[in-house]
Amino acid sequence: MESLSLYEIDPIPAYIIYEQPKKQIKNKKITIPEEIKPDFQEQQKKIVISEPSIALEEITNISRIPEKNFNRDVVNFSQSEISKYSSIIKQQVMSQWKKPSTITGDLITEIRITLVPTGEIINTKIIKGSGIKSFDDSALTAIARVGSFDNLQMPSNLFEKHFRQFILVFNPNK
Amino acid sequence: MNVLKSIFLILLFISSQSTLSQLRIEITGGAKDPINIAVVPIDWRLEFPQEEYLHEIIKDDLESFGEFKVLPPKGMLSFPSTEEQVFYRDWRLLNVDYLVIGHANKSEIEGELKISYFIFDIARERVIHKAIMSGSIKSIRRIAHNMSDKIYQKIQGIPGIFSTRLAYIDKPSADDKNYNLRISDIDGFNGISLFSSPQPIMSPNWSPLGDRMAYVSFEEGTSRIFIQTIATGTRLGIKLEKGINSSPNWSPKGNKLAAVLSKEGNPDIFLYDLKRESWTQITEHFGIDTEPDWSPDGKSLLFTSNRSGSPQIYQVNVRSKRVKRLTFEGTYNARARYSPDGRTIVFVHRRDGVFHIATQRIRSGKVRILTDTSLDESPTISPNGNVVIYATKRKDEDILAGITIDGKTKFILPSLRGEAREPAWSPILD
Repeated sequence: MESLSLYEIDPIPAYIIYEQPKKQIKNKKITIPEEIKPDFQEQQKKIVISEPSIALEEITNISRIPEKNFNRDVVNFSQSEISKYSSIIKQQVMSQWKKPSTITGDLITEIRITLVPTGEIINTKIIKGSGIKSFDDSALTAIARVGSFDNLQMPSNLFEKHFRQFILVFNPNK
Repeated sequence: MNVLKSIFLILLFISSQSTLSQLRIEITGGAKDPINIAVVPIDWRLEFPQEEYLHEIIKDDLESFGEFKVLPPKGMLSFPSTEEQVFYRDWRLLNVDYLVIGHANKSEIEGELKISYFIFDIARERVIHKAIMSGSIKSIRRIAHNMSDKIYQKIQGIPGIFSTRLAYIDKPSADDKNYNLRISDIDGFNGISLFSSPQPIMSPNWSPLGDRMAYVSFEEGTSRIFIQTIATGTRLGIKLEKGINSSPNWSPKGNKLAAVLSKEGNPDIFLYDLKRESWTQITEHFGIDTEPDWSPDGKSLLFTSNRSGSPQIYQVNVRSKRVKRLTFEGTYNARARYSPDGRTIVFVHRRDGVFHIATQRIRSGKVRILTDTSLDESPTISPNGNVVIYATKRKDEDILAGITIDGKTKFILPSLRGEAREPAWSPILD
């Protein structure tokens, strides 16, 4: 009920919402505490009877839309942030990577990086090697040369969720 | 059981969730800068002075293909010669990626010295290689080239080629009226003449172990294939057939030679069995088939043929004798050589009337022109597959030039005297 009013929606669907609780309350003989009684009764007054089928349709729409909007906002917000910080990281690693110029073939190395919020790299681990030691070493050397990422100040929830630990995929053939 | 199963499923779910949700950042390219390496002058602990400085030979080696930039000693803050004397911070300040240090001592063996050396990765603060190299005091250049090879291999991941050699033919000049078959170090030093003749010498080709050379000589008035043992100079003329006998090329096992004979009237590719001293015909066509080159796996040969009307590169399976055309771009593709991995060919390609050195991936057929000079010919590939040396002209002079397989670094071999033609790169020599 409250969440609906948050979105300034006409309280029509409340009819459906309170259809069942009402019955249950009756059956189980649960008494409504005094404090919330007036409020509850007040809301009950606002209930407008309408065709249940229409109401059902409306409530499903309503209950979905706000939820969806809410999620999408969060995702949009962090995706642009994620890609912003990802490209800062990418740039700094690429400028330090001197990959063996002699390497041919499709080599890929995946390295898990652990950071602290200052941007300092505290752990690196090859989780998928290329099979060619000098190639893997060149990637590790690049990370060691970076040492600590610059310009990586970000909200702590974003850091914890995506940047405390992430994977660098060294894939020069792409 | 059910509880275990559900716990397992939950764990599986959690672990798959965490890997799926982990952010992945793709690193698709690196810096264009060469690798910065510092080679500290080797601490010379012998009673006589160095004639040639090891660190200078190593510097020249590493810089020859553009992949490394070597810090000169005058730019260094210290000259460590043992592991304990290395302070990573000093080298990081100088933007050095790798550091080489070492010291030379007298060996227990008379006339030999021992060099202990270390290679450091400065960023990761660790020794990536340490070894002792020993050799004759008189072969400082050889020792330095071997050290360069090791440094190259440890950093680049493929064998270095600074100890390999180059064979080539010197045409008669004002100094020398003879043709000469010469071999020298890859930097042009230590050149010697293997064979000299007033008649033409052609098509030098190294045995797979690098101990013998096959070539064509006209000393008997007609073309004949000879095999010469490098160490002893012993020469052997192989069984002569009527007509042309040319373009010898060793099989990877060293027991056979592919070559061109015209005993049937027109040139075809044949195999010569060195043990049985007999010839077997491989190609049979009224066109000209020439310039064979053995694939690294020994299963097929490349050759040039004009059977389609213009010279093109073909591949023939030695056992089935089935022929496949490889080149389709342009009307002149010739003198092909396999890369050491057998996946690429290097050849002479004519475009807009100009002869270039080009590469082609065998599977995809993708052609890439490497050189931009004209009249480039006779490409030969380094045994690590990374460099091509070829013959070309500069101001009407025959010279040898080189280019890395990525096309980024070009060089000429200036110290080779005379009019050098037909370069042939040795295998990696032990």
